[in-house]
Amino acid sequence: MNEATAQLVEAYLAGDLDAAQSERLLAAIDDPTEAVGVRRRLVFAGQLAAALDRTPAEAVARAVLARLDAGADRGVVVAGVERALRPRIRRPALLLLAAACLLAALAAGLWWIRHETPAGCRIATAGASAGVLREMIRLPATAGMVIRPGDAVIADTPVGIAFADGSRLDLAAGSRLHLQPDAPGRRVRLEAGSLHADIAAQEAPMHIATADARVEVVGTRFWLDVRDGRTSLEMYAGSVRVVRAGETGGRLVGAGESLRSGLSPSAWRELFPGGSLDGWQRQLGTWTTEGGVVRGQASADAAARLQSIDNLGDLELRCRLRVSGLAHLCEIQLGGYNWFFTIPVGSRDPDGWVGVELAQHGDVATCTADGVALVREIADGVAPRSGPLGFYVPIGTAIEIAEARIRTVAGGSRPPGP
Amino acid sequence: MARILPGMDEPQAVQLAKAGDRQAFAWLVCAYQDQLRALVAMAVSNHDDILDVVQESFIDAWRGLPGFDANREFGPWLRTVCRNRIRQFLRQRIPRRRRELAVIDAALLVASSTEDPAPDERIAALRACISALEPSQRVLIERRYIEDVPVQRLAADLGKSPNAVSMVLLRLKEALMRCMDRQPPGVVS
Repeated sequence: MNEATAQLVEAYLAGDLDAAQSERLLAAIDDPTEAVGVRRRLVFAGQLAAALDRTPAEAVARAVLARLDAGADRGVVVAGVERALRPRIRRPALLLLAAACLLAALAAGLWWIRHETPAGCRIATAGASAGVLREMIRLPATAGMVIRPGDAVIADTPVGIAFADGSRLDLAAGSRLHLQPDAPGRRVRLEAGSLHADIAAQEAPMHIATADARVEVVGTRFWLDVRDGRTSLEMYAGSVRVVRAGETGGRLVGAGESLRSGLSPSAWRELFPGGSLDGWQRQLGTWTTEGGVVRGQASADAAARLQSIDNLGDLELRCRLRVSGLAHLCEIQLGGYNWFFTIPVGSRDPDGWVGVELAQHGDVATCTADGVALVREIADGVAPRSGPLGFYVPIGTAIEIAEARIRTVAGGSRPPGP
Repeated sequence: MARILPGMDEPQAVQLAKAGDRQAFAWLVCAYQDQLRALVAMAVSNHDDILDVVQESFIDAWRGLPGFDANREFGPWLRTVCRNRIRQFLRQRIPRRRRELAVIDAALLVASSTEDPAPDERIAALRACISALEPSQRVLIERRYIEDVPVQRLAADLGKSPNAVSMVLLRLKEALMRCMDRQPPGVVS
């Protein structure tokens, strides 16, 4: 099934087909060669839904039995509801007055909560030296104390802050947190130190700002640290969107991921300085250089693989690749083939070159080919790790690597070469 | 498989359920709920609708059990019951659905057979592949296909164009399909 038909099937599953696309999909269903692929995608959509749904089987069984029971007792339930409703109709005026009073009391309570306790924010626990700075006056932080917009919590000793919805921020000793004044929703700024956040699901994101980033939280657990002008984030559950200073859009960071801003990468260097393969292992196939382009040729019965001798650590790579021969793909492999990206052929360039950008930071790696994000694949089943960088093509295939540049990020090794 | 009645097998459960034993029927629900969910999800995309149609299919099966010939295979019969329920759901959806989409619904339902779309091994293999995804990829898949977050909203959250997010989802699904095909046989959780 060609990619255009695959996209039509995806659009159908999402309910986004327009009239012209519908006609094309119907034509594909009628085409015997395309119909097989269409069915396979539909079957996979079903398998994916089943695999993703973590509702326990026993829960489904209980729901079915409950619906059977509800169907059997429906007559009794309806009669009971009718009896309950009848007395409420007798005194409408009193009922309306009571409802109005209740609504007024509720509105007053909500106004008080909103203005006196931002989202019900209070000190939950506080060490002896913790304080709250309010309008230039330092007050001792005590358990139960209400915190208002504009307050700064000074955690000389650890402080726990609780919100009405059960969310909690725990400040480590030496931290300082400022509640933004006059900002809609919950906006705080971690000016120094560290906090651990356990945030209940939010309708509107909670914003935690630092000097150079903003974390938008919708329900999650994470650790955030500000030190020496750098922001570090480790996610334990859920996901947040992190917007670095000067950026728009930001990046989604999920459970198990970490992020560090403010790191200073090294300058860009040629991956193959002077067209030399010094610092690289020709593991399989034939590897040569000419005119600054590195070429790898697999044989008729063996692949081709080039791997750096050094562990490159955290890195960013930019290059152009071109593949010819039997296969229509190549692989960039990280961690000594612990994890890899498959680079598809079929680029927009008439000469067949694909522009690749790859970034690896810790156990997070991303790669794009001509701007399209690629899927990271795990090769040996263990957690991703740093290690040597490799280029690979299958049997009967050749690869050319041009304009390859690399820069390592703090903690990484020097790239191979002089 | 079902843990409600350990030691039960399918022919036993079918006989008991035909006689009105609800626990035996619950055993059958546990055994087939993944398959029916996969079958319904081929035609219905909304997560809540999928659960609803699956449960209604089992209700239909319970009501039809007295007339079921226990000498036949239960699975294909159940899947036929489910397909009928899917047709009913699609028919009810027609007034809210454009004509050409309703035509495609019918065409695809005809094209699908009664074979089991989701053997336990395939689902288990796919779950293993999903667990090997990067956390951000897994979150994206879950938000789109479990939480039904529209692509436009995902794109806004990620700071990407809707087309780019659609392409990422397409590639992720292709990678999961390849991974599932590569899993060794006999892997059942």
